[in-house]
Amino acid sequence: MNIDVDVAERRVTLSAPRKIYSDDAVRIAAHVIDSRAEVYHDAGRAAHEITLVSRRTGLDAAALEALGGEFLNELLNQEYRFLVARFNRRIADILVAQALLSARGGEHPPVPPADTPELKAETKRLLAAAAEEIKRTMPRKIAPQGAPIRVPGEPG
Amino acid sequence: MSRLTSLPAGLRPDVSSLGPLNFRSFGSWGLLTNDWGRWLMLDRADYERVLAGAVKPDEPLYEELSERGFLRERLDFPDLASSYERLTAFRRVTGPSLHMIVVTLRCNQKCQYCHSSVVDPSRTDTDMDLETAKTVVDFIFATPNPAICIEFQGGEPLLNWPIVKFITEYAQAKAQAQKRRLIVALVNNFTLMTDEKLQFLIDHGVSICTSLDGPADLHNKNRPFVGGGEAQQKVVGWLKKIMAMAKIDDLRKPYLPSALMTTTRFSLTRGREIVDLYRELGMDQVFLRALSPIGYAKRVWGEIGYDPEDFLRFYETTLDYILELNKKDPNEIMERYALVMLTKIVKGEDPGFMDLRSPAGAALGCLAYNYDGRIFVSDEGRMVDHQGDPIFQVGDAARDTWQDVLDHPTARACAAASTLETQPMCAQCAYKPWCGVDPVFHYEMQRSIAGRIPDSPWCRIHMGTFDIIMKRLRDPSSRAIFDRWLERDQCHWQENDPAAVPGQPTPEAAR
Repeated sequence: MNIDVDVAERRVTLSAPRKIYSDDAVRIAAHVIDSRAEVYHDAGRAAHEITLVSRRTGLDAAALEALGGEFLNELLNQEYRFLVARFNRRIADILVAQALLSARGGEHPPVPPADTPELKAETKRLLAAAAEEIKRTMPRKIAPQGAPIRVPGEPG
Repeated sequence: MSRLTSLPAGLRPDVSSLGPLNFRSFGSWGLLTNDWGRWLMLDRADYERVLAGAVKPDEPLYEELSERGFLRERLDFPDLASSYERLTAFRRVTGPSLHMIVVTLRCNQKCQYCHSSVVDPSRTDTDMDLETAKTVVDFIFATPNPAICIEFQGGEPLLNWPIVKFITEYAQAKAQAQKRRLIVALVNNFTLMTDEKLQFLIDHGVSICTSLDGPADLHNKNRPFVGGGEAQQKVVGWLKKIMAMAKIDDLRKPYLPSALMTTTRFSLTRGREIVDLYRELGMDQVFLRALSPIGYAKRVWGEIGYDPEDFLRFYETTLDYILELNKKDPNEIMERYALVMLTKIVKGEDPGFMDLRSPAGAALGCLAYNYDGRIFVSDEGRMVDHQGDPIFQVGDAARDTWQDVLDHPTARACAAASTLETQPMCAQCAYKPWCGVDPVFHYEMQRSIAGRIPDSPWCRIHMGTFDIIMKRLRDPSSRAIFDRWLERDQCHWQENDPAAVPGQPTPEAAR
């Protein structure tokens, strides 16, 4: 896979064989490198023709070539991920589903009990005590734009 | 690019009699592991014979392979399933157990590597208010896990002390009403600690953790005060004071303070001094942690960062120093990260460590709450938001339910992307039963939550650390020390929290 660079245009052109690299792998690799380069793609009959335009200015030929190399590494990584996932998808899906379902609390997640009158009373007491302590000990809040922020326990 | 080891040259493998396994060669010996968490170290000759399918049924090695689930025709499924369940208990945990609350972004220190993306002490607009604090606690207690660990993070949490107090007391009242197990932990820099605050924390059973990077010059270089001053001396002073209090009061032992160090470039040659300081303070563990290029640390990586291999050299020489100390005195200091790995490898249990899970602990095992009530998959995810990228936000405590958070596409994507079975290299790695990948780290480093494992610094550090531990497990004298550490650690946690169960975090283990 050749990498050609054009320093003046901040451009890297490269190609990757279509019989190895899927369109999806190219698309995902393009997303991954998006913060560093605009990616243009031509799907040729035998190869993906890819052009990267660096978002950074002032890169020399070696840096542009490294950018192209990064893209190709990512492309290989994505295609390899598809391959591994094809082998292990069933078990991976089971593991993720199990973890998500367990985290949900099972098929019928327990409903937390409503607050008892005692807890409500205690909550009220704690809120009042905290509001008083905030008023007594904490500096007045400042807002990023200079607008006042409501402080619990203080009017408007 | 791969760091996986190859089959021995010239070997003709015959795996027809073998169960599913991964392998790793160490030259003169080899390691076999399987998904049940069983493992076996073999001399090179036996290692090659196993992989060539040449071990005969009348050999003792055959029986050993059978017992550890490596022979296809002799898999004891109930036994292996029970091992697997113990090791992966976190996958069956009902909802996150670790809840990190950022009560303020303000901090009076300006740490070189600050992961937490703090702001100046004057920025009180980044303090959590009372209404949000109550909302966050209500959200936490609406998640289904019967065990909850609330950890105060910052910024420096003591700058918003009334909210720390309120959350502690309100959460304890709710835990009592709902009959839930609750651990409250405070991560602070001790610089704003007072006797009154300490008394509150002790009275309420709050576990205290601080950062201590090492000797004064190193710590103060890494973690200077805003406006100058000596931070380390304050930390050391408070640690000494609390340790002395604990010595005269058995009731306070469970709440002994713990300390964490972060390794910067400046620490790499200072391993012995760091360990000696922890010993001098009477700490029973030191946690040799690598620096992550997340948050502010990413911006100054060129000044304070290092290659994974530099960290591994530091880790190995410092661990060896600790092992030497332990050979002379069985009650010497232990290394926390080794303990996390040993709990998995030797005991076959989950230590509740969020970083080494598959799928990752992000959202499934832990959540981070920003001062404004927004919820993130982890504290690192919150830091990415502070840099202007909200990709890891999965909800808002004032608006969303736990189901909403779990149904959030980011929570699901993090789970799918961090499952090792679909990761190149990880799927074949001998350390897969015990390892994990972090979507946030890889997003920051490689701009993708799945990462690119073959050249990921995460993998280089973790695979290297597993190698270091495995080599020492092969050595009988180090192995004996490790076994003793596991025994001591078990006693420590049983003493502190008899109800602790596998798959649930302990305040120290979770960090």
